[in-house]
Amino acid sequence: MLLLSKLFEINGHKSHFPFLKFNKGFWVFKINLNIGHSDVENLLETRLCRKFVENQLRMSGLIKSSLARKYVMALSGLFLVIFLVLHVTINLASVISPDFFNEASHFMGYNPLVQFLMQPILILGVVIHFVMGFVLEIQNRKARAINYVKYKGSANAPWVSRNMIYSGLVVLAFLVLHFYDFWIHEMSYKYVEALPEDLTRYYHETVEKFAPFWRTALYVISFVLLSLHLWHGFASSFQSMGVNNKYTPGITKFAKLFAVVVPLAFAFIAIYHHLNPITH
Amino acid sequence: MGILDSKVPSGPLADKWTKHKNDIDLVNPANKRNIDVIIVGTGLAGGSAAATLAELGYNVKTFCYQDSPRRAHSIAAQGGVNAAKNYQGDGDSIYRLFYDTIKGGDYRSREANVYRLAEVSGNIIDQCVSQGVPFAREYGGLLDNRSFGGVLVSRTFYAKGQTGQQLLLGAYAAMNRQIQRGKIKSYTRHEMLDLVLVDGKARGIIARDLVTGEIERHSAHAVVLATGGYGNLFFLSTYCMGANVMAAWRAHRRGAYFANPCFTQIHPTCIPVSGDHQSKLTLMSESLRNDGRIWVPKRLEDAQAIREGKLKPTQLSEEERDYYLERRYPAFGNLVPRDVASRAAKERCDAGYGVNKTGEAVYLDFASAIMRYGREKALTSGMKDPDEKTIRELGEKVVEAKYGNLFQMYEKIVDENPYKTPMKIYPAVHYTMGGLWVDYNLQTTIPGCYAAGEANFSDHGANRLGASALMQGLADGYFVLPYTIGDYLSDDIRTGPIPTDSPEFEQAEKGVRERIEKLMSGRGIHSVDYYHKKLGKIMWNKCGMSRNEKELNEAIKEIAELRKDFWENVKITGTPDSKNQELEKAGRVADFLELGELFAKDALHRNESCGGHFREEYQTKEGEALRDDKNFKYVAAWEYVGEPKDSKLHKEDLVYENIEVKTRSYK
Amino acid sequence: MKLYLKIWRQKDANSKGSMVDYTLEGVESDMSFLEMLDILNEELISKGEEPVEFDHDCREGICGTCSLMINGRPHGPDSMITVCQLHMRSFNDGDEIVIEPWRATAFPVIKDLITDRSAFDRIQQAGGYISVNTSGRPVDANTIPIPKPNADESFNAAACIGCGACVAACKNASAMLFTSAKVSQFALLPQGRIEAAERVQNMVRQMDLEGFGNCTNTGACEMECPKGISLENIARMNREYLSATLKG
Repeated sequence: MLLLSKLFEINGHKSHFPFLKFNKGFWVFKINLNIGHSDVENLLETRLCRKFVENQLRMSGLIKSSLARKYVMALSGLFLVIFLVLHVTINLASVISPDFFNEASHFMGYNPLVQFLMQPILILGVVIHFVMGFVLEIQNRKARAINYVKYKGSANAPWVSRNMIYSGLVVLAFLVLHFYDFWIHEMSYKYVEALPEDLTRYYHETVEKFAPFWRTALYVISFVLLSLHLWHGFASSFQSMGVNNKYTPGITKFAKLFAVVVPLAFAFIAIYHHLNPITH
Repeated sequence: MGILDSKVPSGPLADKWTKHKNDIDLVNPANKRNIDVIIVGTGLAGGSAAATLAELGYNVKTFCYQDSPRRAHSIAAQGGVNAAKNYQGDGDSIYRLFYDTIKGGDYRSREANVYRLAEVSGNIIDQCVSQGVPFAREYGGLLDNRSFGGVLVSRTFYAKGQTGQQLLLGAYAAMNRQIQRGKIKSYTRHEMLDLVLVDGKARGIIARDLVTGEIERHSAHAVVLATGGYGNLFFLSTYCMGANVMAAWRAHRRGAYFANPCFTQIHPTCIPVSGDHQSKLTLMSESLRNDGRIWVPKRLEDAQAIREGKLKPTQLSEEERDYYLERRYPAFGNLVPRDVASRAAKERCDAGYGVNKTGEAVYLDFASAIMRYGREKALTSGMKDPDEKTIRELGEKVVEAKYGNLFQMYEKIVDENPYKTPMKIYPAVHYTMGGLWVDYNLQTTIPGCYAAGEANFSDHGANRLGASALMQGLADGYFVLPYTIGDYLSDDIRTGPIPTDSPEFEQAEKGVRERIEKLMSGRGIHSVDYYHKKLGKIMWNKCGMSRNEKELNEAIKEIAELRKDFWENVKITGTPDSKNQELEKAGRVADFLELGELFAKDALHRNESCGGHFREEYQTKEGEALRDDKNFKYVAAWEYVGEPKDSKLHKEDLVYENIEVKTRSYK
Repeated sequence: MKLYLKIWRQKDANSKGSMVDYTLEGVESDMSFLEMLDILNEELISKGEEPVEFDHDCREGICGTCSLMINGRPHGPDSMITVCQLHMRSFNDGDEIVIEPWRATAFPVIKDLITDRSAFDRIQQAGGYISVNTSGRPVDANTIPIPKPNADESFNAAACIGCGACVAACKNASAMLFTSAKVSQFALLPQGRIEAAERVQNMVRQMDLEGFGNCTNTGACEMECPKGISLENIARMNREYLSATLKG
């Protein structure tokens, strides 16, 4: 959490995370830096001091530089991409084999490792990714306080790369719905109402969700935006992590393919269940 | 002429510099901290001098009118930098570089200075490589060289066509290191408006903050002027728009002698003027003359038809073309030196054979090179009886590999494809060999005022060789000035800070303010550019590539009249206490209007033709330059006494002890 | 041709600016864009109005001084050139041309179309150099051979003219392309490796302090760079920075 608090500093202004005490080291260093060159030189005079400053510099660079924010964005994004693979695999089972789907869902729902370790990590991943996205967006807007009267962004950069915040927001809104639909339901089933375990409920619960047209439509639209988000974000995360070599063209192709195929699969599943309701 | 003491050390040529360094006084490191140096101009000479002086321990203040030191016009140099490294093992040596430079300068430069330049040239490359300047390399990882303008060895180091940029960024980086250390205080968007003398010594400058318009006083124990050349005197030149003579001219008015102002280099291969709107000329590298053939139509009516757009150059047959350089100089052909090629182009255009709408352009044709290379390529790739079209295509590829970026640049500006139709070129003002007179220590005739790089006169005589300007700038800044200035500053270790509230500063500032006020109070009829263009026309037509007594006399008169008109009628909008580009330009043009007159006077007095200075009265039967070593083997250093035309001449005789003075011939 | 110009006019750093309309006639297609502005300025001066101030110097595409946003694009519609190399033949009779200064919080407007780009200088001062003494006698230039591909790549990064088009083009006003070009130039050379870790950290810290935005990999900078500086440099800087901070 300390790391988090540093990450959320915007241009040196503190946000409301109450970790001031531990942060003091950074502030001391910062003040020293600002009082002019010769003072820093004096500060560097002794080796001990030098070591201290170097450590501080490195630490501060690792957690609150613009590049570090990019690393966090990229790593959390890549983590979520891995999660998507898992998610889409299990979901595809709902189309191919309802039994396997039930089994897998039950395992995910009741395995303590998944429930109490992986699930919080996943939620944290999502939170970090979108909060950091906002932080970056706010900073970026501040970096151009006065806008151009005429700005032809389309001339030099694709739409998706310029509108990650919007595709991201749609995906975020979708996640709220998705949580409401499935996660809240699960939580209340398991912990609030404390109903008994039922190995067979998952398949028909899922299919039923897609009965209303509006929900299916919302899901499909969200998947389109997810695709756009991934189209730029997946490949871009490698660039942010400094990966740019002979494999880059291949990685980029794979990432773009992924950005199309995975959301397409999700959309297919939603539409499939909408069109094939369970008839009792 | 005892007044001009060049302070060249005694002893054999090769030992002079080492001996001098051993003999001069030094300032100990602790005392350097108490000494301030002002450097005006942050190009190669100024930037490198600032970095080195700061590193030695002096407190340096740098001034440039640009928004960053990195933008000085040294950045635009394309070709390369010479150094006598002999990496190619082709017999290069310090002496050979020295010899080539003296000869290229048509025996009008100072032997000892040029030898020193050649001597430190190798160090420049070592220095720049250790700074991270990315010079071109061979596949083995060692530095690559190319040959340049009529020299017999390959000694030019380069970084594609951007050598000047890379060297300047190196000097700028070295400056940045010292700025970070607090040893250099960099004043950008500042212009020096006057030099301040206290007890006859240069002790500071008056500068204008170009953003706020504030007039500032800055004091120092010595002032270095590294403000480049004055080619913008001609309005149209390959100089940057802001290049000016103000700092040097202000120093001249305060007592620094101005040497050889009429020695100007006019580069033969520039993109011609396209109309009255033109603001600046672009250079096309000299290397193009290796493969391009220069011509104009043989018949006047063809030239006229081309100008009117009724005829295309490609429609003229070989017999209808006049390859005038090949005709006049069969031995060197298109590869004659810059001054010769330039004059020949002017001669043809003046005779009415010019080929663009202004009548001031000649063709540089690659058609035969394309076909020649094409045939060669076809043969080497084993083609039998290739047709004309295939040969042309192959040839175009070869030419593209050699000159692709230049052709592209040409096409962007002119909108014509030089692979299909010949390029149009015309000479343009490119460099000024003249400048402030300096002694061996690079000190002007004002104690404590130094001049480095193109701003001084010292090393190139009457004509500069290709790739020597970068060499001189860096040699002066990195390796010469930082030592020689110590000799002067060693007397100042007890002086203490120079106060800026002395009457001398007071008066200088007052003068500057009055001048600005006077400029602003013109009657407001014509803009500054109007006068600058007029001055440029006079200079180009009467003091340009070839000069004669009658026209030089006219020029002196016309410039004086124009100057009077300017001061009465110039129109400057805006206010002096804010950013005001018109006021900036006006101050610069006002000084050009004085320098122009001295320029013409210098050209008039030099009754000979040498290097870039060609007097029509002094030529051989074949129209070649006729040098007069008996009467003019000297540096003409002018002392300011009031009106430029009354300037007083001082001569520094040039003595050649280590080199035989010969006549150049290219027939 | 006749042109309808919309130009940002702003008296000084503290004043509020606005777009002003001008109609300009008699523009020829072989004029450069800046010469077109020269003509406008001559007209304004003759009318007693203050001319439009804009930065320019070498007018041959190398000094990096000129810096105009033309119709929403830095250095105008053509690629791989600066404004001074742009010619009026890229426009048509009757066109409306919108001319604005670079917009970035780190590049405040000084007057009209002129901005203060000293933030770039400060980034370089923070570490854009190799700490060798210029007055000393360094080793011979050919002592350390450098593989040609590295030397060439280093040169390509060093070709940056510091004009700021990358910042102007970037929707986030990020200075990553500029900073990374300098970091790359030195990181690719053995003589630059010695201080590589310290350099990248110092330069990035200064870049952040200047208030530039973050890189979101849109690639606009690379597209608008008049010298074609590659995005690879940004990846290299990301890599250098990561390893520098992890290793310490």
